[in-house]
Amino acid sequence: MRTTVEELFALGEEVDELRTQAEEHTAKLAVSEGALRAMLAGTTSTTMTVEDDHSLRYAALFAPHFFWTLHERALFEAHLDLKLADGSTGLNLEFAALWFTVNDSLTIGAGKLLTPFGFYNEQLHTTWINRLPDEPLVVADHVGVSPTHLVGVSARGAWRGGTQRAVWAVFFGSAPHALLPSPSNTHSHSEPMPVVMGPATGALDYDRYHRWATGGRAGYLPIPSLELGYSLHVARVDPRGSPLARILMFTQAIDVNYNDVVPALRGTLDAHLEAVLGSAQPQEHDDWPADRSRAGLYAQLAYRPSEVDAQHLARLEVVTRYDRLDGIKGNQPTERATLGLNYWIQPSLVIKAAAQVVDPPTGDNTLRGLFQLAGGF
Amino acid sequence: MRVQLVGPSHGPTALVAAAVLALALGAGCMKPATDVRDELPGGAQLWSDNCGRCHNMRPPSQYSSKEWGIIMIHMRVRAGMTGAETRAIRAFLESGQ
Repeated sequence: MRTTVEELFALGEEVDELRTQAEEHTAKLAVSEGALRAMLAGTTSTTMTVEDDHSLRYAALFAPHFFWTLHERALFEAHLDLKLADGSTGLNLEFAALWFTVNDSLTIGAGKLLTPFGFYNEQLHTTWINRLPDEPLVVADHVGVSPTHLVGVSARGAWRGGTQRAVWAVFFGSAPHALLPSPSNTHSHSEPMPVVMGPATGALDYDRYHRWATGGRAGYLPIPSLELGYSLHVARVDPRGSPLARILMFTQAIDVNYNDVVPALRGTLDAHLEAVLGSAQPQEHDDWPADRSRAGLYAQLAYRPSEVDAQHLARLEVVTRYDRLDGIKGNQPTERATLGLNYWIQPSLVIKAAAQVVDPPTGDNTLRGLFQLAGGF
Repeated sequence: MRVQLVGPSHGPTALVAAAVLALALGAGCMKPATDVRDELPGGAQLWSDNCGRCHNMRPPSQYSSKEWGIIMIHMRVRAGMTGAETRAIRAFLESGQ
């Protein structure tokens, strides 16, 4: 009888010890789950350009992307660009935003954002996603016509009806700073203004924020592989140090995007077209030229024989792109034709090689070669 | 904290854009809208439809379930997906661990 009581007490102590261990493990698991709300991803690339005069230019990029889920409905993300180019290193906060999921159809965000304008800016600009080593002129940062960033708020959502889908995004926030180029003017990165810019509508510096901008993009997908988009950006900008009156900028874009496996070609086709038109409306001045608009476009087509049996062949991809950016004040446009060949080591790791013919506003055509290793992690 | 490591005139342009969208909408409106829940494809189909539009699709095994949960919030914003689509894709990706 005494032995049975002792055994029961011992059993009770064992149960207490097991309960304590279970509580400790549960606490550790909670801490572990909390830690997994943070995540680090990003992009890296190395680029070499061989110019027409056989000179070489190098660039390297490390772009970490931080994620932190503050709540099951709230995500904070930030993306830094640490870039070495032409012998100097620059650090840029590409975006830092807090997104909140309101319901199944609506998400709102605030912070420094990629402007939801066009398709390339938000979806294709990442180095390992862009199928060529460089950007189309019309959407290139600090060079093109497309707005790229803002500090402000955005609301976005999606709708689905059968096989059709629609996406939309609107924004309100800072406006770009209009620069009226002169030989002594520089943009935010303290580099000389590109010769292609010239006077007239000028370049828009999206790293200096003031005034206001608003607009959005609407996209329609009649079938899953095809998206048609229209974008509008209206901004009140102030020319820096200029006696000219305030400028109202209107920028519009249409984009067409296709990606699908085409059985007849035993591969995947990826196609993009984006056309952008920007114009300035000064309230009052006498010095600006009559033509205060500027346009550009790019059209790109890529093919990869993804359905063939030969593994290495299935990883090759041919890309061709035509892009054009209007000159300013009656100057000739810059036109380029690019032909590239990619080898996808992994879905997010690629070696790119491209030959590019550049038809500048003045002077002869030039030929350059571009080589890039890009990866997403 | 342990961090799990693991990418002059704009009038004519506006008219063209409106015409393109109108044509596309007209083509798409031939089939009447139906209940989304009845017509939502499976997670694998949604993954194929949405995740390959911009970039090569990464295999489900590349990230853990927790990481996919974080990534899908980001991709919902970038790719423009509904909540239902996002949850279906996430379930598919987590099942592939």
